[in-house]
Amino acid sequence: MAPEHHPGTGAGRIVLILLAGLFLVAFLLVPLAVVFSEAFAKGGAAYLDALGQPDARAAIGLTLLVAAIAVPLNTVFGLVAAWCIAKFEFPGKSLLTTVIDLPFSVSPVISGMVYVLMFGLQGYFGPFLAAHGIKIVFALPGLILATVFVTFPFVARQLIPLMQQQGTGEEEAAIVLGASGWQVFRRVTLPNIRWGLLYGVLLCNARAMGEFGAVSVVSGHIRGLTDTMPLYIEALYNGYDAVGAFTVASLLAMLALVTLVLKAFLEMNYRDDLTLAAAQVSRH
Amino acid sequence: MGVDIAGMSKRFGRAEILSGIELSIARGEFVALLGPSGSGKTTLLRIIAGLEAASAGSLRIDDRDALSLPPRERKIGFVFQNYALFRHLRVFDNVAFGLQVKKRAERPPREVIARRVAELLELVQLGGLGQRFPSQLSGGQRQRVALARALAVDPELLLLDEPFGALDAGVRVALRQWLRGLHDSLGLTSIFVTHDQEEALALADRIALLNRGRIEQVGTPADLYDHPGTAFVMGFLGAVNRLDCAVSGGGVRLAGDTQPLDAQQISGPLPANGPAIALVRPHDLRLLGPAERGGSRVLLRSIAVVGARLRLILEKSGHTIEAEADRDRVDASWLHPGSQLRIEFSRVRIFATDGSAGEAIAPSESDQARPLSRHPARAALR
Repeated sequence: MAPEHHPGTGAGRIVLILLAGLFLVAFLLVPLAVVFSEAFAKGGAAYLDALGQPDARAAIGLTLLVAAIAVPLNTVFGLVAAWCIAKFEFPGKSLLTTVIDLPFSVSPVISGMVYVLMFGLQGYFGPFLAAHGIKIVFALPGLILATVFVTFPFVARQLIPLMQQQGTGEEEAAIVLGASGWQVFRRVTLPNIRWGLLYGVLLCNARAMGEFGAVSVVSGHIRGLTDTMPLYIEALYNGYDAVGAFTVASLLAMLALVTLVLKAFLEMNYRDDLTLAAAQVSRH
Repeated sequence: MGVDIAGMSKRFGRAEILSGIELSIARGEFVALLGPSGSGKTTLLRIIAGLEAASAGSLRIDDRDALSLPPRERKIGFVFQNYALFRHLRVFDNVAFGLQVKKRAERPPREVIARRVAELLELVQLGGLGQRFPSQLSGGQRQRVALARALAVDPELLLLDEPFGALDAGVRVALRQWLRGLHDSLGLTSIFVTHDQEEALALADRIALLNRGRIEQVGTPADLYDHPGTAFVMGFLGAVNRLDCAVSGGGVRLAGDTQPLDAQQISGPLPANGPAIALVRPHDLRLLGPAERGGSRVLLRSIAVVGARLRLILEKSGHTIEAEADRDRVDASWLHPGSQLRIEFSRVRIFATDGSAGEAIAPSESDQARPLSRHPARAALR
């Protein structure tokens, strides 16, 4: 019972906690504080002025638009993919599971390059698209494609283990009771995964709004037209407009904080529905 | 609501889960699909429900071809092994589910659903628990919610997969008698899957005993117990002693005996001449007193008092026989470990030795529910 023999007590524990805290402050909290202090370096009026710039408004609008299209798409894709993988057996299933992770393992820059190679003027479909007057690269469709690709895994990764753990018992019960496919999904499957789904959507959204690499390649950096917030921030910073850059950056930082708070709230209140413990209820 | 299954088989890849299943179930019957784990009984139940597709064969429910019908048109209720209650719905909504998902034209009004659910909860003795969530119920209560939910859609055929498997022993016995009463009073036709032979014998009108995807024998519990068609059936339906023997010229001689058994000691047909196995029920063994003649010589290895009964471990030419006798029927004073005794067999059944028979009698993983047959051989003496 001697406390110094217990792994969780004593001086070592205090040192470890201090180290972790120090790390957190130095690498996360201080930079976050710097973002806001730089943004307000010239006062509130300059802050509002920076946000009032037409290019800034365009960048914010574009980011919201891209996320508003990419996130619902990936929510549907993620649901379908997770449903297939968790509830059915089919050849190539493990391959599909691996492919879903591809956007996580590939550098976002390469994801962007792929779209330029395919749809750019020199790309495979470039001449065809040009002949029909369709612009994908250096335009909104390219930004959406790149964002969808990069944020694809978030919803699916969150749902697959949850749905696998829950099994197919409740769905089968619903089918025998006469529910149609849609009723099974809406009344049984969806309620069982709702908090996990929300969690995945939250992370997906944060990434969709913050994505830089892939979007940078396909954007073409036409200010006011194809610059999303992260790209606009970089352009301002490179133009020595620190207040403008950090002002827009502060919006992204706030998005991150809101995401974090919601995430913590979900984890605190619906831990059972988010983690693998969910199925224990049904097994008793 | 009759059920007719003919020539049914089920394959997963190369594995044959079911083959050549023939089974007819009459309206109002309570039938057990009994067998060890892996015998295909649950697969058969799921095919009847429409949750699995058969590879071949036909299924007629109420004289309609059911294999082409989706589950919801088969008029069945299904109680799952782990109940599969909707964890996010209260008990009330679990039971109401089957009514709420009906097409608008067929769906009863809200008040009718509420009344029906209340009736069902009363029926399964859960009145007042409608606002609970499944996680707030005991195992026996969940089982009854699952039953009420299945009954809500007025099924004509009730299918139950190991309905008592997840319950404590005490709750299990009470609940199964109650379920049998419910079946009778509602005029249902029911099929239940179990690996517990005692449960099947106690509850079912008829038992279909499955082994390795085939039906070994179908009959009333008394039929199967008294006239087992194969060594597997006899071994699965209760304690047996298993002894080597030899068949020649219409006679049977047990290993270690000099005299063949009398014809009246043997029940059922004899296999062809050659080595065979003899199975004998515990209650068909009798300990001979010192003054009696005949019988087979055995060595008493040990003796134990188990409540009102006496347990004897005997040895007969290499075979261990565990025996039980009523203490008030046997004078234990002259029984000592190491003493030579004689026992008389009756209603011995002789089966050809084939690989499957030996294996079938060996205890399998599904034997938790029947501790008696843990022992390779056991006999009760009278």
